[in-house]
Parts: sequence; structure tokens; C-alpha cells
Amino acid sequence: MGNDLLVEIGGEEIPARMVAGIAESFAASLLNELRGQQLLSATDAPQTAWAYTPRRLVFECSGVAARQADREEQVLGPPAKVAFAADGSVSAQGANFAAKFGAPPSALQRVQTPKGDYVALQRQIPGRDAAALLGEIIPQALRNVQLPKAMQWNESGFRFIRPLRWLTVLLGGEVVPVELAGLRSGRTTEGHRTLGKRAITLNSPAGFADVLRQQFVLLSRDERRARIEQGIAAALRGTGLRVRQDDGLLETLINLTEFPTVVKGDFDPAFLDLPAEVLVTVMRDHQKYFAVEQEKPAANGEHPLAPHFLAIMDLDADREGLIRHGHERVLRARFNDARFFWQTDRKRKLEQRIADLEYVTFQAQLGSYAEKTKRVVQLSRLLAQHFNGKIAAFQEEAVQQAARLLKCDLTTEVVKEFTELQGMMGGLYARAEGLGEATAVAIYDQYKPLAADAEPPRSLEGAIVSLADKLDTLAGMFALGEIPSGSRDPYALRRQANGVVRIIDRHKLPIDLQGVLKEALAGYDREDFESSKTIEALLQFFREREQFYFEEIAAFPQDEVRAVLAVNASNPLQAAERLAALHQVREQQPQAFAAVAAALKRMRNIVRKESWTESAWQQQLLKENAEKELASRVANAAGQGKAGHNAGYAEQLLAIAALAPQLEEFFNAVRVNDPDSALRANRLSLLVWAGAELSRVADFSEIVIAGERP
Amino acid sequence: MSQSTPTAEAAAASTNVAANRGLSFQEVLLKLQQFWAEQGCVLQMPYDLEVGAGTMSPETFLRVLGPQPYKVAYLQPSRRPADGRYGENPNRLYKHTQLQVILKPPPADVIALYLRSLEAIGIELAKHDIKFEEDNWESPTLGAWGLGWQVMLDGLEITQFTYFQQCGGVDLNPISAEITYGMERITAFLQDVESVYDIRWSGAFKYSDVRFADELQMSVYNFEKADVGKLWQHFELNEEECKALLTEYRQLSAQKEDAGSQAKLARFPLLGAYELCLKCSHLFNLLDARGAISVTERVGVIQRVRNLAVAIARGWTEQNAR
Repeated sequence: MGNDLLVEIGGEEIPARMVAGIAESFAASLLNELRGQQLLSATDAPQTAWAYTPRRLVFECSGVAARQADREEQVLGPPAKVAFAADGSVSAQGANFAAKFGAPPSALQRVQTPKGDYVALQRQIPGRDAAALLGEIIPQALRNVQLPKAMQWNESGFRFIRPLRWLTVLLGGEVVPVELAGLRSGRTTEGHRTLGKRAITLNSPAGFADVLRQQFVLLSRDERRARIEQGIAAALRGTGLRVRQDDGLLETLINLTEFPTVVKGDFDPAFLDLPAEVLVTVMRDHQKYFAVEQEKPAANGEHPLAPHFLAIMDLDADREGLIRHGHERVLRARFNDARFFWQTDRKRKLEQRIADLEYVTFQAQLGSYAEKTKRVVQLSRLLAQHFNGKIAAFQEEAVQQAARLLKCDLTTEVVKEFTELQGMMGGLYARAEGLGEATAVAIYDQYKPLAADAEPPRSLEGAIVSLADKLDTLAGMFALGEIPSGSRDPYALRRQANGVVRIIDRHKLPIDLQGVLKEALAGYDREDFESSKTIEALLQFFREREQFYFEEIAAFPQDEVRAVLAVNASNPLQAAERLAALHQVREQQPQAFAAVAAALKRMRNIVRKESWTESAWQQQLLKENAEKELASRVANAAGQGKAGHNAGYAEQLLAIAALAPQLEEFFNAVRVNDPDSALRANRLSLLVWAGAELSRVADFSEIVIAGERP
Repeated sequence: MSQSTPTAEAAAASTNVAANRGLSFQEVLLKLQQFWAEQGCVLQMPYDLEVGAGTMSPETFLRVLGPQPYKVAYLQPSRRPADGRYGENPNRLYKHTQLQVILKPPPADVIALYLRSLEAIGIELAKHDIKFEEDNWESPTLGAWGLGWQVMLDGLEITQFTYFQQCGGVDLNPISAEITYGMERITAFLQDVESVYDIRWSGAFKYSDVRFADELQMSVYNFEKADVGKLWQHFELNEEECKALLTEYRQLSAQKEDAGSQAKLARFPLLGAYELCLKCSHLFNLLDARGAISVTERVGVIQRVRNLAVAIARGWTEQNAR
């Protein structure tokens, strides 16, 4: 039983990129408060729903009690020996305590507590009305929402993402009085800005979405999505064309409209001479239009763009074709600009633009892109020399050329206008100039991967210049003390470091971060940059990024990632290989693996308890067979990983896993704490040595064994 | 989806657009000013110094400070030297016209009011796609920021709508709403012309008749002729004088309060200091267009202008609180 609750917070357009999160967080907070205040039945699950449009946050819930149940509470008073006189009658103190709560002395009860006998009162706490509680809960739930940047708009001083203008709160058929941000709740809502009514009276929460639909507001995001998708399908049916899928854009448009409707427009096919990247960027990023492409792929497997676009208007229909006409007009002007820029840019070669980079800031304290380019050329050369012969063949000249021309597109008009095309434009201009394809692709891909799980640069040449560019930025920023912390990462350094790890992992690049970062930092040639402190901070940062990458992106178990990185995190490729081997061996031999991990933890605990660090032991002091056996088997197993042996990490780990019986026998048969202090010392050293020898691939003490708390 | 064929749609569009073609540039300017005057706004003159935006006029920058309510609307020719294109680009101008509206404090139905202003210039809301898209405004030179939207009309950005939160580094209370219309864009849309130069300014004259020479010659001046050495001298002279005034004001304001110092403070020309600061800001824009400001200098020069703006905003707030 209970009533239906409707809460609608209405106002001015909340930014599309945030509105869904804000609505969800508000609803979660509100539900939590309702539960906390015992307004929802603990047994029947209430029906709850949240929804939003750019102009409203909505929460609906069934089964909300009209008031809280009455509760009984025990209040503890003074000790019994104080509250009662020797004859058992109530003392003055006891009577005072009862009077304080408006109870007669006879109501005092004797209760036992761990601290002795006390007196207590049973107090009736009457439940509060839901209406009164909601008046507190709703503003609180809204204040609980985390906002990236809040604003004020009226004398109430309330802060929110954009101004709030109405408040609809109904419990059953009744308005719940709520005051918030200078607003008082009522039973009216608003329709669509230009098609709906300004004030619609609601009798009850029932059928709220239907009421809004009649006012050209689709409350459900799924309904808005379906309307967009059906509109697109209808617009392109039978044309041999299809929409270029863009989930991010679709999400934006769902969040930007109350009544989305598709408008198909055309543009002059002559614009198709421009690079598709430019056309799509103009349509998507600047106009929020979907691009349209041919259903049939071309010979190169790509689907050529068609001279059409799909705009999503926030209206029911384009009655007189004005809207289509208007969108076509704006797009034509944008494309004309883009064409002008593309043609202007091609009059000067990338090579001629190098000098202009003096005037483009890389970072205020780190100088211009001209200086950055010099460093990246140098670092790329070092990386290329280092990789040469160790990885598949690549063109060193293309690496050098790409590094030199890498940032030249920052001086082009297209990139000044459409900054999101940086890199890509450089690649396109390089190709148009007839520079080699390897150079063009490397420049084009330099900013990849754009996310930790996105594609890295396609070629080795691209991977090398991209690494050099990112490492240079990271080194410089860290030297300035710009180290990301918490949510503060204005230069997106985490993304850059994630990119470094992904490139190394996907292209299998053997690289020692410590050495390369030293070179990167030395490239700045600045006396005020403190090397060892900066490198230490960078390595710690990379350790965290590798941990993130291996756990979240490569999806390895947390304990395995930690075990591997605890040994060494300076070489991400090697860490990835050790991790893969560890994971494989653990899956192949789960029991032996668990036994070895447990034994190694036990060994570590023993030596740690004794604070023993000495690892030199003597063969002649080994008395028991079990310890002799252990020593020789550990030496054998560890020897596999040493110079002259070619055993892979998996073989080394299998050899260690095979030691399970010897380890068990050692603990069964050998008493480490022998009364003979020489034997004791030798055994402790043996354990320190064995622990170190067996932890070269992974630190087993990080491994979580089933049943053990992580 | 509309069932009509593309040809029918195009025909319908052109007839409707033709109906709007009656509104000349000056009629649009007049109607919008008329609309806001009827809402109780003071109709101000454009500020008679070079500014990059209506926001820099003291009617915005200084009026939004302090507690006094205010409502104002004014046209502001806005000069952005780097945006000049010698009159060759159909959509870019060195100097464009803003209509700036400040509502302090904004009424609760401010957006409905704004939409009615569009109706006042002949835009039928039910026939157009209007969206409010996130746009957060920040001016490093003015130490100012606010949150709001760019208003999109059939895909064209026609207005910036901002709730000012801070100006000259001072937190604002009450908040002001700033509505900035781009007049050339709106009129080109209404007249359905592809180039701003084809806008009909009045019955007999086109935009190009009135403004082309200005765009061409000022682009030549801004990009080719402006004397960099002298620009720097002008900048430094203006800055020096502005700083001297601000120092004097600071000393005056630190003195013991008596009737004499009160009177001196009340008449102290912070408005004069602000004009010097605006000149610095424009000279900075000119130097920038000439490519005369290196990477390393840039941040520093912006900071110098900002220091002036922030000191003036603080002083003005204090001066008006006395």
C-alpha cells in the first residue's frame, strides 16, 4: 500500500553531456533518502523510475507511505543504584530523568547493560508525515548531486547546473509542499518550449508521460531514441544510402531534444572532393548532423559519403521546409569555409610551415611547438635506433620525416578552425603533397589512441613518433610539477600515459621507460628541471597507468597485475609478457600454484617477523634432507630464468609451480627456529634467498588465494 | 517526416523566406531595440571606443558589479582585427554588430522573453528548430566567466545567452543575464542571403555599400600597415597611465575615512582608468593580428590587461558601495 510519488524539477536547458548523469544521481539519492526515512515498504518492492529531458529531471515511485510508522525507542537513564533508593522506591534523580521525558516515575524500567544495571524509559516516537519529510529530502537529494560547475541565478543563492524554474511534487492526488531555490512546489508542469502549453495542471502522478507526450515532450529517452532511429530509417529507405553510425552523436541528440524529428538535407556533391574527415567533422562536431554514406562499399572497403545529411530538430515537423532550408544554408557556408581553408592551406607545404611553429604555444612554460618538434625529432631518432633490429622492419627515414612535420598542421587554417582534426590534417596534407605513405600515416595517427581502449597508431613509424610526442609532453609537464591528482588532470596526462602503455603493448615494443624518460627530460636541456625527482614521479605514474591498463582494459585479475608490477614496472612489454605467463600457468595448475603462493607467503612472513634480510647461506649447514632438496630445486628452477637459458616466463613459472611438494616438505620437516643459532641463521637466509629467487617473474605474496581476504 | 517532395518543400521555403525579405538590416535593429525598450530597458548608445564585444562596454562590465538592478540594451560594433578577411569572406567580418541586453537581475521567464524577441523580428517559433546548446563563456582578459548557451536557429548560432557569475574577479550578486545577438547573421538568415555583403541595409543600400571599404581597408591596416613599434608604445603609455591612476586610487582608499577623502574617492575617475584599459585591450588585439606577440609574451600581455581590469572592477565595486 501507499501512494504514487511524482517529482519533477523543471528549468532551463541542462547541458546534453551531463543531464543523464544528473538525473540518475538525483533519483538514486532520492530513493536512498526515501528508504532511509522508512517511507518505502521493506517487503514490497516499490516501482521506481527516473527520466529526463533537457528541461526536466523526473522521479516516480509507487508505494510511498503517507507517514512513517510510529517507533518505540529505549532511552537509557542513570545507573539503577542512583535511580532507585535502597528501599526500591524511585529517587529524586530517577524522578528527574522520567520527568525530562514527560513520563511518570512508575514508567522507569531496570535494564541490564555490560556496564551494570541502569534505568530506562520506553519512548513512543510518532512517525512524521511523508509530506513534511519530502520537503527536506527533495532539496537534500538535489544538493547531493555532484556538479562539475554550478551557477547561481536568483536571490535564493541556490547553486545548480542551470536555473530551475518549476517544481512539481505530487503524492497521490496531493501537492507536497517543497521549497527550493526560491520555488514552491505545485501541480503544474510545462510542455515543449514552442509547441506545448506553458502550464498544465496535473491531478495525480498517473499517466504523467502521456500528459507530456500530448504537449510534445517525450519524457523517455528510449522513446526519443526510437523516434530518431525510425526517422533516419524512414528518410533513407530505398535510397541505397545508410547513416554513418555515431553513438556519441545520437546520445547528444537524445539529451538535447524533447521532441526529436529527423530532417534530411542535401549539399552540393562538389563538396565531396574535400576529405571525408573534414566533411564529417563539420557535420558532426559543428552542426550535430549525421553523415550519410553509400550502402555499397567502394573498392577500398570504405563507404563513400553521399551528399546528404540528417539533422535532428526539436520540433514535430518541418511544416514549410524552412528548417531544412536553414540547415542546408548553414552547412553550405561551413563547407565553403572548409573548402577555402583546404585550398589555401595547400598553397604552402608542411616543410615551409616549420618556422611558423615558433608562434604556436605548446605550453606557456615549455615554449613553442618549434622547440617541441626539435625534441620529438631527437627522441624519435633515439627510439628508432633502439628498436632497429629488435622489432619488425620499419622506415627510419619516414620516422624522421614524420617527426619533423608532425605539428606543422597546427598552422593550417583547417586545424585552426576545426582543432579536432589536428594530426589527421597533417596526414592528409602530407599525402596530397606526395610525401611517402608511411610518413602520411604516421602523422595522421599521432594522437592515437584517443582512449585507453581505442586503436593505437596503425604503423610502427606512427607508433614511434606518437610515443616520442607523448613521452616528451609527460616529461615536460612532470618537470613543471603538473602531476595529475584526483580529478585534476587539465592536460589529460593520464590519457597520454595510457596511450603510451597501449602502444607498447599492441606493437610489442621493448622499451625501458626509465631510460627513455631520462632522454626525454634531457631533451628540454633546462637546468631548473630536477631529473631524479621527476623521473621517480613519472615511473610511479606509469606504474599506476600500467595497473589501470592491465586490470581495466586488458582485464587481468587484480592480484596477478600487482604481482607482476611489484617486480618491475619500468618495461611495460616485459610486464605484459610476465603477466600473460602468470595468468596461463595459474589457469593450468591452479592447485600447485596456490600451494606455492601460500608457501612463499609463509616464508616471507617468517623472515619478516625476524626482520631477516641476509640471503647468503652455506651448503654445509644444511642438515635436513628437506632443506637440501629445497635449496637445490630452487637453484635449478631459478637458473632457468638466468642468462644462457632461454626458458620463457611460462616455463620459469611452471618450474616454480613444480616446487610445491618440496616447499610443503620443508615446512613439515624443518624447524626454522632451531635452538642452534647457526642453523637458525642459515635457514632464515635460505628462505630470504629462495623467496627472492622465486619472485623474479612475479611477486607471489601479492597473489590472493581462494578463501583469503584480499 | 514531411511527406512533401523536395521540390515542393523548396518552393514553400522560398515563398516563406520571400515574405521575410521585407525586413532590412536597420529594421531588424530597430525592432529588436524597440522590443527591449518596451521591456523597460534603457536604450544606450554604442560605446565610443574600440571594443571586441559588447561585454567590454562599461554598460556591461561595470554595471553588472554591485547590488543595483539595471536593464539596458545597446548596439555595439565589435572589432576583432584578427577576424578581418579584406571583405572577401561572405561570413567573417573585422567589425560586426552586436545587440547586447543586460537584465540585472533576470526575470524568471527570461528565456520566454528572449523567444518573444525573435517573434518580434518575424521568426515564427513553430516553424523553426530552436535549441539551447551548452556554452560556457570565459574572458581571461576581463577576469570574467558565466554559464549559458549558444542559441541555435535551424543550425545557425544567433545568440549567446550567459548568466554572468564573476566579472573582474568579483563574484556577482545579483546575477545578470547577458543576451548577445549577432545582428549580421540574424539578418542574413531572415533575408535568406548567402553573404553578409548582400544584406539589404535599408531600402536602397546593401551592407557592402555601407561597410565594404571599412572591411577592406581596416584589414589592410590591421594585417599589414599597423606600426608594431608604435602599437607597443601606445600600449605601454595607456597601461602606464592606467596603473598610475589605480595606484592613486588605492592610496586614497587606504587613507583614514573623513569627509574630504570620501568626496575625493567618489569623484575619482575609475571610468577614465577603464577607458585606458579598453585601449590596451584593443592594442593587444591589433598586435596579435600583426603576429607581433610571441608565444612566450602572449600569456604575460593578457595578464597585464587582466590586472588592470580586475583592479578597476574591485575599485568600482568599492567606490559604489560607499
